[in-house]
Amino acid sequence: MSRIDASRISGTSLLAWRNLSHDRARFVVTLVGVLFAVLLMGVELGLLLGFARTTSGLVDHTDADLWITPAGTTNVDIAGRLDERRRFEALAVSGVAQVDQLMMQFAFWRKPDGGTESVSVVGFNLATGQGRPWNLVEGTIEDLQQDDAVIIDRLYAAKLGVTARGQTVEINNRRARVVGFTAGIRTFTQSPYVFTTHRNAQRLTFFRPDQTTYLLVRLHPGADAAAVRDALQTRLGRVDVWFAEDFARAAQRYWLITTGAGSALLLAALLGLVVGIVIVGQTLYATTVDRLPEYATLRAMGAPNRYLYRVILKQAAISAVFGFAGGMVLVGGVVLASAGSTVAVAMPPGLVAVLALLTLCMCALGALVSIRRVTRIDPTSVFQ
Amino acid sequence: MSAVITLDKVGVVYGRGATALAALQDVTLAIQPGEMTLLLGPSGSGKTSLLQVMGCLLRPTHGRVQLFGETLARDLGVEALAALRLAHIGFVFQHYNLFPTLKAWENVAIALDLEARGPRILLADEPTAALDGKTGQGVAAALHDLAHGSGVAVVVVSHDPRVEPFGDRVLHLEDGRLVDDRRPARSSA
Repeated sequence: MSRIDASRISGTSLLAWRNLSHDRARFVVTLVGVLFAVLLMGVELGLLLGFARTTSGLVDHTDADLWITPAGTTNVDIAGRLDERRRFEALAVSGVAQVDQLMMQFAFWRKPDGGTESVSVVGFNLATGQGRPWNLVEGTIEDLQQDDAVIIDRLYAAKLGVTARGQTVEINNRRARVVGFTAGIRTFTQSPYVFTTHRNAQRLTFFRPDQTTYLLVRLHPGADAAAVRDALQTRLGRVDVWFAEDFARAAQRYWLITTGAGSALLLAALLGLVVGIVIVGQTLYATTVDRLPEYATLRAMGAPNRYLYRVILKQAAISAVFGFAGGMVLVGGVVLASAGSTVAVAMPPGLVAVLALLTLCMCALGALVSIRRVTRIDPTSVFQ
Repeated sequence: MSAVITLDKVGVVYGRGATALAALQDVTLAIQPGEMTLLLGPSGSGKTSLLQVMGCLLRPTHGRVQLFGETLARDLGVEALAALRLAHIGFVFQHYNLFPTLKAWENVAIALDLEARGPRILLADEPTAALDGKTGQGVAAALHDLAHGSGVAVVVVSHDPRVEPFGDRVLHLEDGRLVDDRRPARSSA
């Protein structure tokens, strides 16, 4: 640890590194503290983002410009019914190029070996593919042309008692056959999505042929989206018309905020931040107190306070960098492990950057107590 | 030659009221460049306080301090005083207080990193206290040579009689007062 070319780095960097590496046990404690904090913050924030993506996954994976939903709809998983005539009313509005029906309804899934599970039946327009499953890894969309065909995700196959394509099950006591699998389409409600045609979804969930759940609107190129949305709202009356991104955010807000799930995750991440600040603060303070006579000597020689601040902040930064690197290795392991589970931990580059910033801030905050202590150093103490 | 440090009726009082202790009382003196001044006196006579005042480490309770002819304002902040020390004053401390985490030359590198310029005043607190006779004499001679060779004003607080022959001027303090200020007839230099 001490083999470092001191001639190439500044005095404050050299001092910071040597102060930390001199007491390896304390340095390790600091790094473990930072690492634990990064792990906790990373996993909790990753879960939050993963859940957010899950709650709006269906909306995000369509290319609709606008969503027409039954009035009062708060999220994509739970909604009432719309009459099909609404579709024709929507098509009559200027700027509207295409309107597709999308079904979403909870149902009971009876496993091949008995037992039931709750599922969310998603029925989409096979001709346009609007609302179709993504990440299809077995079977094809065309396989859904058979009346009783459904596609489920592999993550939930075991839960639904399915081991291979071709198996038959019952949905709401009606026969269905699994013709394909997707990979990684999760559901926040833990009622797995079961994709099928709109017509089959109506049959499985006892909707009338003239009923649906959502209408997905594509606009003509160059159409004024806000104006078309307002016109649709006026024309259709008792429905809600959303921009797709607004509906996605509404779904995220509903599940993460109104259910308290998001608050719990944020609180746990905050806890990690606090733990990190406390551990870094304690160990940096102990290191600083050990070096007070030497710092007093520097002050007596005329070193400005900012010189000592730089030493302490660099100690914090070194702890942050090493702790962050170690923490992210563990977070990466958790992310990889979660890829095969029904709970996803998302870790896009943006979140990595946020975590890095949080770690730096956490260590800088931890250094404040030490900075306050060296500010009060009496340089005349070197003569005592 | 003009004095580098001038003290005019300087006093330092620690504490207040009944517990107040006068460490320095009405000390008036001028430290000249190019000579080695010895500061002698028994323990508690105020030598260290005087050194701290001259070193811009301690503000006097009363009196006036001038550095290179400029009077130090009483409200000069700690950072401004530190800047003055860094620019003009060097120290030799009795306790080295080197960073144990650094090698010897790295400690020197830290001092250089502070961008301290060559000091025009060097204040030494018992620089030979922990040295054997030969080394102690060597250090005293080096301080004397520094004063005479580079024009630095060297002030040495010492109890060590081996240092006395090297002093160009000897100040004697007792009970916070300057009781003697003499120039020995013959210097070893």
